[in-house]
Amino acid sequence: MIRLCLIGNSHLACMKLGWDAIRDRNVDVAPTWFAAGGNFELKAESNCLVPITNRVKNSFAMTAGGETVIDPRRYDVFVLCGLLLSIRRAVLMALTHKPHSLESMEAEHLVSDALFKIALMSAFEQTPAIVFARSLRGLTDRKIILFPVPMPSERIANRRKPFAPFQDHGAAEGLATLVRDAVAALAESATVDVVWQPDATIIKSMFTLHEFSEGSVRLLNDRQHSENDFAHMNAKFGALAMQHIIGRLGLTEATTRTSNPETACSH
Amino acid sequence: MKSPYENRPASSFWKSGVAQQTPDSISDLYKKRFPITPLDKVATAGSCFAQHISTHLRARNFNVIDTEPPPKALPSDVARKWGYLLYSARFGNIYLVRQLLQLSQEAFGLFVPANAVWEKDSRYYDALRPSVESHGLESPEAVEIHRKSHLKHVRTMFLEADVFVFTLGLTEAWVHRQSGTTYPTAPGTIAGTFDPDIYAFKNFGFEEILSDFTAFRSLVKQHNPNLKFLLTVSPVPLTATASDLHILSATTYSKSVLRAVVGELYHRYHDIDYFPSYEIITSPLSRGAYYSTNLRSITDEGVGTVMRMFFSEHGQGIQATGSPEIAAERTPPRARRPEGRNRNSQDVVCEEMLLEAFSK
Repeated sequence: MIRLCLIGNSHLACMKLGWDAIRDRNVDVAPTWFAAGGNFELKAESNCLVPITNRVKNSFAMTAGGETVIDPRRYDVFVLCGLLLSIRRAVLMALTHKPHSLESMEAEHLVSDALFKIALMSAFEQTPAIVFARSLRGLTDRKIILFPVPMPSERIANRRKPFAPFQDHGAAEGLATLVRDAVAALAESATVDVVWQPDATIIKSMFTLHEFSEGSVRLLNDRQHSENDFAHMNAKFGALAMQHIIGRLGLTEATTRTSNPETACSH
Repeated sequence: MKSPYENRPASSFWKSGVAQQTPDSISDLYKKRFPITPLDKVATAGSCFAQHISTHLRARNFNVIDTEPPPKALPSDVARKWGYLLYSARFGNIYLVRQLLQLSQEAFGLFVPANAVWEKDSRYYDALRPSVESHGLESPEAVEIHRKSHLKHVRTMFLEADVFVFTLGLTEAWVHRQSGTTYPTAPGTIAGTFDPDIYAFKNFGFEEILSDFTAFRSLVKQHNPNLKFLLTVSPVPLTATASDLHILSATTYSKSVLRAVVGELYHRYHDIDYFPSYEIITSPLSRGAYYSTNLRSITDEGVGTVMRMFFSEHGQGIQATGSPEIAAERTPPRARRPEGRNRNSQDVVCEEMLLEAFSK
């Protein structure tokens, strides 16, 4: 049994919904969900990660079956989901400071790709995803996975001005590469792993296929996000993403077969 | 009148004007020629010491132009290493007046530098500002594209400024023999390769420097007729000399020439002011107290004394947001450095320091 601790913000909603669809195929995985909306802080206290506000504490209690404190000794693997580790930051930065490799873009300032990556790393360093990763690594040597905010829906490109330049495939591919490099460098420095969303959900390097975002619902109730929400994904995405993450947990093939009756039957 | 000195003020006499004064008590050393207020757009450039003036002006919320700001997420200490937040554009240190003249001519399309791209380990550097990209760029073409973008912002700086603050730093330089293009560092120091058939040492003299600044002033005022200038001379000695003189004599020569040029410019043009930071730091008045133990770097205390005199004439800026000390409080922790008396002004980015690596 793998005890999985998932910590995240609104992007954890689709993962939970997706899990409900695939749990029967993953009986050896036991997830616990620590979710709270937006940006929040946790502090290390008595070898645990503890919310510093009642809002987050109450939210954790609701999503984690009454648990309000993350005790690293109770889990085998940690997944930090979303938590502002988003390509959106790179998009906004590129609007004013164009990385050299993004030839088709226009911006007031031109910077080298090396500088853009460093600036991006500085921005990401402040996100809860990286802050929690470093805090957790100080408490446990068990596997920690960063699962960044999903790429926005492909429909954002012609609905939100900052994303318009990235309809150009070269620019999109260039920016996605810079973001992946920056996250990889941070992950390496924090000695954690990164798992990106499945390739099958991505289109044009930095967008998510629309079919994975339509009908997405909110974290703490079942209300749908608005039509103009291009950031949140649906249960279909969550199922693929959770299976993708589980595939990276280091479960042996034998363990996976034993834990998955459907697979075992198909053989 | 028995003597022409009879009715001179106390500041005219060494005993009352200097010997009986301290750097904090001395009066009448600097009387502004024109005011600089927080409403004026101030552009800054020059040798390492100019960074202090720029930093203090920004800290007091004077309107210091920054035509090439860093990406917002970049911490200020990192940004400075990449050539940001030092001056009003990302040109790095401008040690020589010839460099300044070249830059202005290039910005207005009147000059094309020779051998403007230097290579090191298959990376390519802008020879006119080799320290701003510490790992260089991937191709010579990339350097040219970045320089073109940079020059656009330099031009904006010259067009928008009300006051141009410039610190003259050096007379010694390395130049391209054929074209005369002057570089901020010797080829081979940060990047490039030194070839004595291509590059030569040059120690600029009084007439050349005076002529260069006059040409610079004339050019920028064609585009910005109301621009005024505030000049200072860097009190920081040379790190090394390529002349045959002892380093002490070489330093004295360089600084004397620069000080004399600025004096001539001050007397010749009413839109040029001179701020005597050089005198405050280097004269017997300070008894060498403002130099660090390497007898070269200026202490924070020295910079503080200089800037107090500056602000006593030009107002205190916007005090609510404060002094550099207050600004430091607002700086993210990673950008701070340990407190300590008489520490060097180590925030200054000075590629001239690289020469020390070659001194043995």
